[in-house]
Amino acid sequence: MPVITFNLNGNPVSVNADKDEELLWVLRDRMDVQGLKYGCGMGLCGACTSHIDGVARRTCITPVGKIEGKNVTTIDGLAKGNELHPVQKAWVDNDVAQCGYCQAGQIMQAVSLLNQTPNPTDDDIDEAMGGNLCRCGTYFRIRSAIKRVAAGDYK
Amino acid sequence: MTALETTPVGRRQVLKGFLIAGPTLAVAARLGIADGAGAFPTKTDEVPDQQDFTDIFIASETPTLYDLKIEIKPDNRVYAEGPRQDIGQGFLTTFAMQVADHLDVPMENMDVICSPAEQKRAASQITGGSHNTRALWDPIRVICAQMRGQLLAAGSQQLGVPTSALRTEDAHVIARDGRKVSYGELTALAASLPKAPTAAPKNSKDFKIIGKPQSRENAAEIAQGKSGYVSDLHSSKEFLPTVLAMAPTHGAAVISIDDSEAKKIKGYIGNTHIPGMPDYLIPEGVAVVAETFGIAKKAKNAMKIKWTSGPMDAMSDAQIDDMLNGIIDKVTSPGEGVEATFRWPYVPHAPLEENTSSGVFKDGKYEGWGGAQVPTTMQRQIAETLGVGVENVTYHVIPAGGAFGRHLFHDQDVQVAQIAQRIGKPIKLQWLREEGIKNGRCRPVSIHKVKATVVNNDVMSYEHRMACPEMDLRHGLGDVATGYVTEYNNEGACQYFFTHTQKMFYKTGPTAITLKQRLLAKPTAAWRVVYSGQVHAVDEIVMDELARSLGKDELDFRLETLDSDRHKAVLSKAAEDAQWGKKLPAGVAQGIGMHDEYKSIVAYVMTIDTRGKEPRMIANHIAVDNGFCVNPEGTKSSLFGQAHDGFAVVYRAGLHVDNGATRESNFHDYKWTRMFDSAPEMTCSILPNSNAQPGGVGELGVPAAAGAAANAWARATGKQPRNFPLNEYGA
Repeated sequence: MPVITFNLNGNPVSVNADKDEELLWVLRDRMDVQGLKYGCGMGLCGACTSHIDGVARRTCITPVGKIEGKNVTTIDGLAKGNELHPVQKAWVDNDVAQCGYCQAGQIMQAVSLLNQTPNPTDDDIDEAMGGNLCRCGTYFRIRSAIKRVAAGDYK
Repeated sequence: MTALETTPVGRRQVLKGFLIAGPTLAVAARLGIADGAGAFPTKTDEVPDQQDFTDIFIASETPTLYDLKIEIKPDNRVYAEGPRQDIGQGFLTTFAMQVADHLDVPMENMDVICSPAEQKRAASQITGGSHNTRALWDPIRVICAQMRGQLLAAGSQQLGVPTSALRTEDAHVIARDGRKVSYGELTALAASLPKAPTAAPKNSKDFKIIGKPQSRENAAEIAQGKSGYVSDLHSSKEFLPTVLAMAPTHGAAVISIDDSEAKKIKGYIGNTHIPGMPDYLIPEGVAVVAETFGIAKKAKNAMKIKWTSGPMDAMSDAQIDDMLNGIIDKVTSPGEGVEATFRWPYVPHAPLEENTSSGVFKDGKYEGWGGAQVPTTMQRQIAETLGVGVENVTYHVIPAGGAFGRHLFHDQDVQVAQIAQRIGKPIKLQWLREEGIKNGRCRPVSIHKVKATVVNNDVMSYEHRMACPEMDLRHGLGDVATGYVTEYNNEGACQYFFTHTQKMFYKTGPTAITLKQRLLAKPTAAWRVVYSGQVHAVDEIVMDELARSLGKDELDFRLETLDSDRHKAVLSKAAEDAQWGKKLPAGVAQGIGMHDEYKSIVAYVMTIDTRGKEPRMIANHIAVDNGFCVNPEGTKSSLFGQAHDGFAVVYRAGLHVDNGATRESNFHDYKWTRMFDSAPEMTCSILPNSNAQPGGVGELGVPAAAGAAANAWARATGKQPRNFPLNEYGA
């Protein structure tokens, strides 16, 4: 089995896995990184969303062979030590989560959106967040939290 | 209620057999009865007005509700086990708030978890029916007052002053001279003292935490991906990743298994056939074990499994509809009014965390982790399937990633126990989404025939006849009648439940709401706002059509016909917040929906824009009277969320059955509300407390939101919503 090397949450790592294994399961089952979630396995719900080189990707349909040498950030590595990322602070302060299962993916998608579009419109939010399903229906507070980060309420 | 034996009043003929039925005062006047000659009742009480299912839950649970585990630790933290599941509605948060307030402890000192399965709770360890916070309201108050009494006695000894000179605050016992000692320092002494007199239980005027907005107790953990769902608790190196292949058509059985192709996949470990529990519609299947879930899924797809035909293979949607049309009660009211037939499809719960469960079976003992809403039932079923005594089964209740009723049956607990026993290793089972949509439980498809008659501008009578495949309630509903009897008489339990939940809270004269069911092999389960989700959403549509048929505004008509001032206050607030009747562009309209259940009343005014490719929710204005609101933050969060359930079932969500198989398989064809459907503008007004106790809100809003969503579309387009989801029929 090939050894695949990449940066995970800021640290160089290597893992034995077939190149076509999905990154979601390599992280969860082979590397015990559990923050990202399985929801659909087809890139339809966004629960597994993590960053590859700073951009939100669906890890359930990303072959691990494609991330050789790249930077992977999961929700587990978003905070800097005890200092939460501004989007995480907004999520806590706006009491966004209900069951919480989709929120790791929602947060990673929102961070990616705000990195690319620091002041998103409602249409930008609809488009960027449209692939992240929340069965509890927390969309209104997700939208509010994103807008408050954009407004500079969280540093 | 028997139907009217009349000839139509509209033709000014004679009424016969009328008096039993409770017509409205207006009708009496029309019949020529003089003023002052008395009045017919303006409403016939329905069963839920006298005793609803919240009352039944609480009456039957009371013997075990006062057995709560609350411990004060030496480090001054409070550990409390809530005998319920938290599936996103924030039960653990409101539980912690109540314990903290009644104990005089700050929220940050609280550590709360869900109780493990405990048979001593009899049939009452159930999370359902939105009754949890109310059920535990008095027990927490009484038990915490007793604990404060004990702490005061210990503080009295420690500080050398009588208890009457002591008070409790901030997890300390405090003397008048300012000396204080923490609960943690007193806990050992307090436990060793004889039972002290109880402190005075707190009343609402003394609350410091209850009634104030409170974020979820685990909000920070969730935001960091650390909240720990079932599949996160163990490394996959110890608990082997396992997926299931389940039948292609409902109720089919395995004939043969060939894994020769799967064996070629590196990382495939093996498979085992499990029988499930056919009597409980827990599916049999082939468990496929591998080093990772990804490999297990690949191996599962490579397996060649032969299945028998299933008992429903001759049935598609058309045959199911024929069956339902054959059993549904007939509408019999004579006269004119609004008459219509409605259809809702099968709707799976589809919580975002698809079914998971973990377990290890060793030396005749089983330890399992799952998100069951009725863990005691699971503990018994696991023991039964493993052939061990229930005392040998430990079951940890882990907060689940959503449920919406799905985890009333935790089929995967029985399955994972069967797999762990056969494989002989700890197992982590994950249903694939495809198996969940195709083989999971659903809100049953339903047909509704409704007739509301109108005489002289008033509603004269109301009939609502529902038929659906039999709802499976065999998890029990907490009380003796359903907790054990459902196993033998599920249909009886359904009728009992239906009777104690369904009502019209509008003055509709003699009103009949009835249910007919027939068992099918496609598994069903209670789904958020059981039965009312379909029944009352339809009633709200009919109310709108009645209003328009009478030339009245939909809001005014409701305000004239609502049962009580409490209802009117809720609707008036939502309408005020929404600026009901404000001018909107053509193709955009507001719609009203209300619901009354769980001792709470809610109104939604939803604004729908039909001008785009698909209808979109653009605003929601919600008002609620939930008796005594424990956590305004949680109440709003829940009701905002439920707007999306209402939107989804009206516009997007539904399954089809083709020759005994479910057509849809994942979120591309089973469509749920997305961010681009969701309204950027939402408000939720909580009315002043109207009761000394809380009502439920964890599912309350769904029928109201669905009614509002459908009514807005009707007002925007001039069409009549009849078959759902509307998008499938060209909305």
